Amino acid sequence: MKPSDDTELHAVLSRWKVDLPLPTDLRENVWRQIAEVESSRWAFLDLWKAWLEMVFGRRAFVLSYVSALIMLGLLAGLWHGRSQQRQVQTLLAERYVETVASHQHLP
Amino acid sequence: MKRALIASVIGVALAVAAYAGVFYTTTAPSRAELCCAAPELAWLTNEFKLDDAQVARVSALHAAYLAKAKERCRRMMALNASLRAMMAETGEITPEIEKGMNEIAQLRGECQREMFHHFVEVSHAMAPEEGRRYLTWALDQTLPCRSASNSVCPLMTQ
Repeated sequence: MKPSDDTELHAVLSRWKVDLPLPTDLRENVWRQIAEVESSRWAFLDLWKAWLEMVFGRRAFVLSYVSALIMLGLLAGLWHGRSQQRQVQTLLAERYVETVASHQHLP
Repeated sequence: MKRALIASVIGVALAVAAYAGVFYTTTAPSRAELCCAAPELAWLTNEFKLDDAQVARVSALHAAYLAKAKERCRRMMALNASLRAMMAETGEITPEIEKGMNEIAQLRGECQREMFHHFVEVSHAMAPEEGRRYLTWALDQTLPCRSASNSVCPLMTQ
């Protein structure tokens, strides 16, 4: 676009007037939409809380939940303990070989 | 919500207690081995299921072997040091240096021979099946170009 065209465009834009009036309930509409979004977010949290209260209200669920946590702890302890045990056994076996075959480690 | 929180706190606390209990129990043998005077012998005892008499015999063999091995190591270090000094001084392979190299090779051979004798003696101190297993394991660990997984020397694959 040439500079002269740009000047003309500016002139046209400065002469341009909007005659349409704003809707009368624009402000109310904006606030209503904000309130709707917020209430849907709280509704989800309320739903989640209600679900928690419902399931934790059942004795069987609470027992299963606590049992599952204990089982998780048992399995994690077993897995970690066994891996630690294997590491120590390997270390001690290597130490035995190093002690008995020390001449093999000399330069 | 409060019930969920209480159940979670109790559940997590019990899970941590279960974890600690099982971990402590599972690693108890290793802790016992590590705390004794000769952890490698404690390992040998557990790994090859030695009874008290076998432990006493293997411990005596181990102590006697180590005393002699220590002396051989000392001699080898001294030979290494003198060989290094001679080579640094002459910068060539002189007849004295060749003699020193032969002495080191002989000493290495002696160390190797004594080590295999020791393995055989220790294996005989164990129950027959465990002794065979020990000897196989010990040879796997110490024979050149053979690893625990029975793979060959890396140079052979190139």
